[in-house]
Formats: sequence, C-alpha cells, structure tokens
Amino acid sequence: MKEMTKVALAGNPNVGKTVIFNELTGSKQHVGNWPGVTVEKKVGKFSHKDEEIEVLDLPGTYSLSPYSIDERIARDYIIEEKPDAVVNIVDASNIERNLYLTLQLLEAGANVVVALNMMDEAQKKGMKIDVKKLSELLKTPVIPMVGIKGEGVKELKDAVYEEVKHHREHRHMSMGYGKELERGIISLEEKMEHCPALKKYRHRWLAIKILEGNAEAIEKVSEAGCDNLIKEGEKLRKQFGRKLHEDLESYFADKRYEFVDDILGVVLIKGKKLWSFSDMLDKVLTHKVFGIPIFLAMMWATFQFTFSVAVPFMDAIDLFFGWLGGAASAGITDPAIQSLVADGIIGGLGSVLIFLPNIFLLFFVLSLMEDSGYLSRAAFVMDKAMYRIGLQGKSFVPMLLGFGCNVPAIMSTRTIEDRKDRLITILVNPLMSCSARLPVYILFAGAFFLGAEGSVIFSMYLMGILLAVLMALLLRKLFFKGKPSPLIMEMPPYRIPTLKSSAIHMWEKGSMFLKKAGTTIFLGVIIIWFLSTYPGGPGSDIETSYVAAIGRWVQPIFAPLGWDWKAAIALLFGFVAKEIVVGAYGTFYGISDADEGSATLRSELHGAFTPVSAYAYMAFVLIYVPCLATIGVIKSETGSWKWTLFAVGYMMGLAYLVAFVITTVGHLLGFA
Amino acid sequence: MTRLTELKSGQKARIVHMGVKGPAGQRYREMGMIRGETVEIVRIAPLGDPIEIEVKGYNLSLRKEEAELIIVEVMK
Amino acid sequence: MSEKIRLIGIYSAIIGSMYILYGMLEIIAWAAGELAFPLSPSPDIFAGFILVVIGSILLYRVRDLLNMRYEGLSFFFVGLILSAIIGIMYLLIMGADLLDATIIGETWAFDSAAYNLPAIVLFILLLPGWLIIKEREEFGE
Repeated sequence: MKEMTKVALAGNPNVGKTVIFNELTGSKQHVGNWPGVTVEKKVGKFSHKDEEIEVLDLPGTYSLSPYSIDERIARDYIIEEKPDAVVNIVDASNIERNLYLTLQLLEAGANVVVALNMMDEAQKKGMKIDVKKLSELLKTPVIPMVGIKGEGVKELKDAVYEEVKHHREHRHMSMGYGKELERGIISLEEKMEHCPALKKYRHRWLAIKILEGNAEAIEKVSEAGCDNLIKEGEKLRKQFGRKLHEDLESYFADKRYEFVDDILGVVLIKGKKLWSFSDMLDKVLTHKVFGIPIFLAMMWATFQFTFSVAVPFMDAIDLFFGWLGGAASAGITDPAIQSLVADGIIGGLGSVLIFLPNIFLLFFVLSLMEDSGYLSRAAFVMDKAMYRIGLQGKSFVPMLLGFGCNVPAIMSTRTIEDRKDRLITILVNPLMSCSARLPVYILFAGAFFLGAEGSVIFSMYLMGILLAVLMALLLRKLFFKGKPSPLIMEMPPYRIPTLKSSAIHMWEKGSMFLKKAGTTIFLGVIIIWFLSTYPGGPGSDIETSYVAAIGRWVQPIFAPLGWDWKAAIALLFGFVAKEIVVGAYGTFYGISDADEGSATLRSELHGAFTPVSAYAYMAFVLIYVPCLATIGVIKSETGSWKWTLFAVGYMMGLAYLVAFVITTVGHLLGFA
Repeated sequence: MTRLTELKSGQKARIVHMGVKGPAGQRYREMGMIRGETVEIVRIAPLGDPIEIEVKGYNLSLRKEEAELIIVEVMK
Repeated sequence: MSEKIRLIGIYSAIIGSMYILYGMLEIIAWAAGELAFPLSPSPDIFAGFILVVIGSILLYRVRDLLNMRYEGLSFFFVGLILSAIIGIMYLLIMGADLLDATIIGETWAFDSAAYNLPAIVLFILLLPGWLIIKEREEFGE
C-alpha cells in the first residue's frame, strides 16, 4: 500500500499561504497540534489526476535558521521528514526578501515548486517579473498566482503533480560561496561520507550549517558521533573569520542576498515608488496624535459589537437548553437520572455554553484585524508602553481581549514568538476582568453601593489592570530575568480581509476552544451537579448536600474575611465558570431564575455581607482563579502543568491577600 | 557616519555596520539588514519608539535599543 | 481633478464639524442627562469621544484639501473608513436586537440612544465619499 504523497507549504508570514492552502484542500482539512508544542498543525488533502496528495500548512518562516518555535517546526519538518515536495509560496510584491528562504530551501535539497503569489499586488506596484527566466535561473518550476482570486491554482496542482510524480533528483540550482569557502564546504562533505548516521541529510546543506556555526546542526552531528566534523568546522570558521573580517554566519547571509540581487537584476523590472494606499492609511493610523485614540476606539467598537451581537444567539441557546431540559424532565421518570440529565448535564452545559457566541465573535473580529494587517500597527503603537512593564507591543491586544473573555485572549498570544514574553502575558491575562465576572459585580454593587455602582465596578477593572502591571513586573524580575526580546516585526501592507477567511479562522479557533475546554467544563459541571444534589438526592435542600458540607468545612479559611459557607461555595462554582456564581446564589436563597438585577437576592445578601466584606468579595472574584475553560487554555497554550498550577496558585494567594488587605483597611477606617 | 536612531523620517541611509549581536542580529541580517543595504526611515511610533524602516522593498519595525547599534551613512 | 479635491475639502469640513458637534453633545448628554436635540445624541461618553475623534480626523487637513493639495486625502479616507466601521457596527447592533426580539418574542422599537442615530446618519451622509476612494489609483504622486 503506497504511502500518501506528502507536500508541505512553506513561506514567509503574510504571503497568502492559508488562502492557497484552502484553495488546494477545500473543506478537506483539519487542525491539530504538533506533538509536544503549542503550534497549530494544519493538514489537508487533494486529488489530482491519479494521485492523492496530503498537504501540510507549515508555520510561516523567514529562514531555515529558526528564531522561534514556529520556525523550528517548519525547518524540522522539511529537513527531517523530507516531504515529497515543498511548495514555496513567495509574495511577488515583496520578492527580494522572500527569495532568501527560497534559496535556503533549494540549498537544503528540497523538491521545490515556487508559487509566485500576489502577482496582482506586484503589478499594482508597477513591477514586472520575467517568470520564465526566474524559473530557468532557479532551475525550479515557478507558478504565478493570485491566490485570493483562485488564479493559478490548477497550474500549481499540475506542477506539484509533476514534481512529485517524477521525483526529480536535485536538478535545482546551487549557489556558490566563493572558491575558498567552496573548498572548505567540500572538505567537510568528504568527511561526512564517513559518517553513516548523517546519510539522510543533504551533505552540502549540513556542511554549510556547520560552517555557519548553527547550534542545532552541530548538535545533530555530535549525536551522530562524528565529532571530528565539528572540530574541522570550528577550524574552518576561525580561518575564514580571520580572512573575511566578519563571522561566517553574516557572510553566508550577505552572499545569499547578493545572489538574490543578481537573479532579480535579470528577472525583475522594479516599479516606480507610488504613494500606496497602505501608506496613506498608515499616515493616519500610526499618527502621533490620532494613532492611539483610533486604536482605543477600535477596541471599544470590538467589545460593543461582540457584546450586543452575541445577545440573540445567547438567547437562542438559552431557549434551546431550556426546552431541552423541559423535554428531558418530561421524558425521564427516574428522578435521579432526570436530575442528572436535566439539571446536571443540560442545565450545567447550557449555563456555560451560553457564552460561546461571545467567544466566537471575539475570534472573528480578531481575525479581521489580523488579516487586514491592523494588528501589527496596534503592536507598533503600543510597544513602548508595554516595554516599560516588561512586555511587548504584541502583548497589548491579548490583554485588552481579556476584558471580553480570557479564552480567546490567551489563545491570541500565539503571535508572540518569545517564550518568556508570551508566558508572562498569559499568566497575567486572567487579571483582566472578563465579562463573565460582571454579573457578580453588578449584583453586589447594586446591593451595597447603590448610587455609586458605576464607580465601584470601574474600580474593579482598574484594580485588575494595576495588579496585572504589578505582576508582570514581578514575574519578570523573579522568574524571567532579562528584557523583552528584540522587536523584529514586519509591517505588511493593509489588505482587505475576506469575510470568508475570517469566518474560517473564527471557526477553527472557536472549535479548538470547544474541543479543549469542552471536556473539562463538561466534567466540572457533572461533578458540581453531583455534589449539589447528593446525598439528599434530587429535590433535596441544598443545605444537606456535599457541596454545603465542603463549604462549611472550608469556611474557616474565609472567616477572617467575614464570608459564610454560601460565599465559599459560590466561589467553588465560579471555578467552573464565573457566570454560575449569581445563579448559585439564587439557588442558595431559593430564588428561582435569579439574576444580578434581582431585588430579592440583593436584600438576602444584606444578611450575609457588609459593604467591606462585599467589596473584598468582589475583589476576590476578580483575582482568585480563572474559570475551567481559561485554565484549560492556559495548559494548552503553555504546554506545561507546572505553569498552569502556578497560575492557579498565585492567583488564589493574591486574591486572598488583597481581600484580606481590603477587609483590614476597611475595618481600620471604621467601616463594618 | 551616524547611528540609525539619529535619522529623521524620510531620510535614506546605507548600512555601514550591523552591530546587533546574537540570534537577533542574525535575524535582522536575514531580513535584509546587511552591510551596504539602503534603508529609509518611514516613521516613528507615537510614543517615540519603535521606528519603522523600509528595507528590501518592505517595512520592518525595530526598537531604538537595537537600531542604536546599526551604523549608517546618510544618503543625499 | 483639483476642483474635486476642493469639493472633498468642503464636504470633509461640513461632515467633520457635525461629527465633532454630535460627539460633544453625546459627552454632555452622558454627564448632564439626555438632551432634546435633533437626532437624539446618545448619552455615551465613549461613543461621544469616538465621534469627536472621527470629526477631528476629517477636519485635520481640510486646509490642505481646500488649497487643492493631495496630502489631506489620507485623513479623509481614514475618516471615511472609521465612520463606516462605527456606522455599520451600530446597524449590526440594531439588527441583532431585532433578531433577539424575534427570538424571545418581544416587540422591537428603535432605541435611538442604544443605536446612536447620529453615528448612523453621519455614516450615511459620508457614503458618497466612497466613490472617491474607488478612484484612489489616480491620486498616486
């Protein structure tokens, strides 16, 4: 049984790789994870003539010397897995820098087909590219394309089919690095012949990497047990370094670009430099005076939009689950099972899934901003402010998104390449008060601070921001010493995002969230149902349940803060999802369908709290622990239980500390 | 000869020495910031940092902290 | 061509001033209570602020446009785009409310405070500006 042909899509970020991937594979694609890392793995397939071809969308990469985990994945796949062909997607309007990767791919010995995409944009710039000549010089098929219009897709499929079917041996062009250096390369290659473990790699490529001083290449050689190669490499590096007055790594980069320029000298007629529409937009969007206000306005519009437009869908879900619950109750006779299904599964799921529209819409808007190119401007504009607190520009949008929901917010930290920067951004994100906490604030502010609810609630948000800044600085000092990583960010031209691709992104990210967080939430909901219903059984008073017992048992911890067992249990419920806290309180006081506006509930609370203890409680809810979904996402985005548990732990500690301080200060100031 | 940070927006210069070290320096080089290359300052962010430059036909932003280490020769 | 620029300048100045006017009215309405004013400005400090920003952008380079210089066009275009983003946002919110009312079976009424009528009206008034954007290729210098 023949193994399916594997083809990889490789290219710089922002070249339209995803669009071409979608054009090739249509709906036959799915998203997973690369083993051991938090990088998305997109696989799809298509049939052409008599071949079935599996396509892998590799993360965008600027070079085969990786600078981030994403790039390492791309590099490793090409070098180690050796796909049958690599489709190198090149942005024609940006051809000079893009060809750098192309040369590296050819050097690595991959079977390359160049997809010269965005020909329309190149044309607008007035560029003229002799595609035929380019193909001759590179000794590689070059297919001009306009991915978003679907132009060139068939030709690409043909070219890939040809390349794969006839398994051409490396007839691709090979560039030379000068007589002396070539001698060095050949001498290393000869030594490599005696090292059987290195047979799978293209010797010339490996030799060049050794001379560049590439750490991973050297590691591979050392693993293969051929240390003499490493020594020889070192010797040559020093030798040439002295001769050329610069280290070999820069020399190779320079030479490659020299080669690119030589090729383009023959193949490209540069356009006139027009003041592009993109530049016109940037003049205003990154303007000294208007830049930041516009950015803040866009974020405000995001929240207005997602909050309001989510409502009809939330109501629809509410009605659906309500009906479903009713049908289940009517259809099931056994009280225990009825309770499990109606209250536990359906009720519980419903109360959490109701926030799904909000999450999906946030992903949608995020995709629009990313695809249009605006996101890099946002990072550009906010970078300095973020740098001051030990983060970077790309951390700003995740922090802001946290006000909507921490789940998409944390998932959006994927754009941050540096591991430390990303980790800190993730760890402080839950301190940005998400929208699920709002009903709790409204309930308590309405009960205890009538007339000043707005300011009190605002103070919660402010507290969250201040604590996030503090924790970011603290974490940087304690665990992540050093400065944020250097900024090397491309600012792509603005492009009109297609609703279709943004919708696809929204669906992908939303489904990923559902898959990851879904199971944890489901389990959490079942456990809570069980603990609330037994041992008394369905219909029993909640005061007799396990949950109440746990609450009473745990209550002494919260005694100094003046909270009763109901408060403790509501917090436990909030662990699953913050939305549940208000509903839980309703259950405790026997008020059905209670919401944060309920006057009866508010008056009941007066018996259990004082203004000070209420304020402390609100602060605790702000800080204590992110909901299960968020915890799930932290785990999947950090890939580490250690950091996830750390997040949970530090937040609990911080929450208690802050609540305690508020209580103490409140009492000192003479409040009850 | 001057540092990249001394330039004003709209000015063009040729890179004389790419002084950023380590993997970041290599990455800047691979992104086109090599000796002899012409760059143009496009703009400076509202808060004063980072700066956006045009190199090899596209726009790249970097902080003054790194740009300071890049020595250039202004072109008329 | 240059006459067109001048017209755009006047257009930008008029609509820009209206944006600033309504923006400030909305901030005042938030602070001091609803105002009885045509188009009922919503009492919303954030929306008001954004309307002021859009208006400022539209007015910022009006002098250039009136002097028939191209540089001001960037600001007009961005003002146009922002007005569309905000205007369409409110229209979508209105649509969502309508949909919601249908789902839960209530009657729907146009709530000018929630949907920011001024923002919608001004967006519509700026619609002709999009014809200019279509011709943007001509403006390359």
